Amino acid sequence: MNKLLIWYGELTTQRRLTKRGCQFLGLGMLWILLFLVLPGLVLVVVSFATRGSYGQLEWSFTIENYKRLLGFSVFGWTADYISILWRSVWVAFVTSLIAVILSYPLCFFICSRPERTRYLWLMLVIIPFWTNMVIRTYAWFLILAPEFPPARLANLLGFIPQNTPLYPNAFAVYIGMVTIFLPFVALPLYASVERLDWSLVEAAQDLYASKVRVFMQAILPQTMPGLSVGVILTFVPAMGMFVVPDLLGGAKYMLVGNLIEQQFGASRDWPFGAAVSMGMMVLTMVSLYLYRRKHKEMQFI
Amino acid sequence: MDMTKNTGLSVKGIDKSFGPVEALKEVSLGVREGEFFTLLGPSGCGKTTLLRIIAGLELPDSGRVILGGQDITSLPATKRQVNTVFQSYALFPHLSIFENVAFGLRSRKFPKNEVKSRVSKRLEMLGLQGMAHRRPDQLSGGQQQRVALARALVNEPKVLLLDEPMSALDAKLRAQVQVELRRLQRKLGQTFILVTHDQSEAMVVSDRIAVMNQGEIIQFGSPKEVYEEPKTLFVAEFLGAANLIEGRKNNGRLETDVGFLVLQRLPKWEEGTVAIRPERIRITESPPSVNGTKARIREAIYRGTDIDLWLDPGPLRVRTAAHRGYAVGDEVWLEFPSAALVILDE
Repeated sequence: MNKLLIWYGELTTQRRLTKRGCQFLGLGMLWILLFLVLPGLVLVVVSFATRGSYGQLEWSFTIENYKRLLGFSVFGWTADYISILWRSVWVAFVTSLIAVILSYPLCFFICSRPERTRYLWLMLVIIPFWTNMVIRTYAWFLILAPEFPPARLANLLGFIPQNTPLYPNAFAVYIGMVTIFLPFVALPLYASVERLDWSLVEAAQDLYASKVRVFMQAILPQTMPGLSVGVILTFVPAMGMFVVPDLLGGAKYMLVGNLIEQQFGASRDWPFGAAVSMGMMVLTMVSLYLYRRKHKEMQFI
Repeated sequence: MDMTKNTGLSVKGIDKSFGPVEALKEVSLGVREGEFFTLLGPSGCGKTTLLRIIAGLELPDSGRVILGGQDITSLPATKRQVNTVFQSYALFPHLSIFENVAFGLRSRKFPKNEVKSRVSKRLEMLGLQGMAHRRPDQLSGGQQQRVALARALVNEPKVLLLDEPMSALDAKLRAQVQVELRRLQRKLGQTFILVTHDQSEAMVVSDRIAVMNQGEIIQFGSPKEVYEEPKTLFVAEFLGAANLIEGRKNNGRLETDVGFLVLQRLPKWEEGTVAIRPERIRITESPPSVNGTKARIREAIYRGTDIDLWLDPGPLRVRTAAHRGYAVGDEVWLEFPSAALVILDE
């Protein structure tokens, strides 16, 4: 019945192992249940509720919130909310892409440094990562201010009128987003680049591969693990980001994060906020699913 | 050295340093077309660096690499008609065997049907048909090695470079692959340059061997030449076992610990070393007329077909047929035939 067994060098029984497993897992499970699963369910329920005239919740079932999200209102169909959702996906995509493009040279540069200075360079990537996001975003206010070279250059090139800052606009949002998410891509990618088997790169060169082909066949497949972690770590939070677009994008450049924040805050429309959140969650899941699938079937040419 | 023939590969006065370490010092060599050439030496002797310079994966500090009469020193690896079988094989793990072998042809944009026919031909030649759709990690070490070989050969390189390709195989398979590699090279008539630290491997496969040590080529020659007529102490000891006998010239003979030895020619030096292979020392019942000494067996190591004897004085090492049944403590006469005594340079 209670057979003795050896488990990683320890003499024990099945029952004792089960008991210990429950003890270790229990707390974590409870945490997830209380603070993730339950609120998630509440969100689902609320998204089908109705907003009362004073912003309170009224428990009458409706799918009005979802219809509104898809653009159907008493005044007919508009693409407003869908375009906000789409813009969020797009911004997250572009942010990830720029972060990846910047991270590759950065990681190769750091890896090419001698061992001693390598960690110094890594620290330079990590320090901003430890700095508060709001502070980092406000720092761009200063850099993009009218008196500073970037704004002056933009003025000289005729992009903006004189004495205006380089924000708020989409460009500033991208700058802010990339600043925040670069370490999320660079650090996992660095781990992959550091372990790169250079003999594959040499083999590709030996076999007449062009530079693009060397990258696609010898470097990309090897760095894929770090890259895909980095992209997920960037893409998902970037979709829900609201601080950066709020500060650097202005009122006109609204992303889904801002929309949700507005519904739960100023508008006091919790049911609609919940519906938008659900929409974003679905979108995130779909993006991740597509990403994973693309990943699996990716053919390197 | 044949360095003028413009169809082969020649390397002239190559220097290469890595920081304070001089990896290659003024190395020159010539490889004839269709030859199986081996760079043999202990690890760190610069043989792999030399191979990488020929492949274009490393730039020499000075010197030139000439292939088929054309100076390719500054030509990048991607443009050289030279392919390499890497020590780790360096197969692309995400590609099938077929795609691995097709890699070089695809890089050079060969038409699809051409790629297919050439790759299939090579896979068949190396006994890899039926594995085209597998991935490298689904193959055994020996199969992976053949894929690496096929991947390089399919490009029909002017020179095929092999960087210790057999070091990852077990002893039995290695012996088999050595023979296969030699047959393959004969059949194709292509120039092969092999890098190895295994002297028996070098003997089996090569037409000519360059023995390297500390960034220099010490001796060129056929396997027979470098084994039987080593020029230096290093070569004598690196290629199999050798008895080293020190002596000084005395009256047209050599005065040594094992008595006076008559050599085929007189050495240039006054005091120096001669070498003799263990299997060339003869054991006799009665005292030989010249070059003989009496010795006592200190240790006998049975090796199947042979028996290795360690004798005093010396210790001298003698290899003889095992069935002759010598025992520890036996006293025998040894003869050092003049033809087997090799004079080593200082």
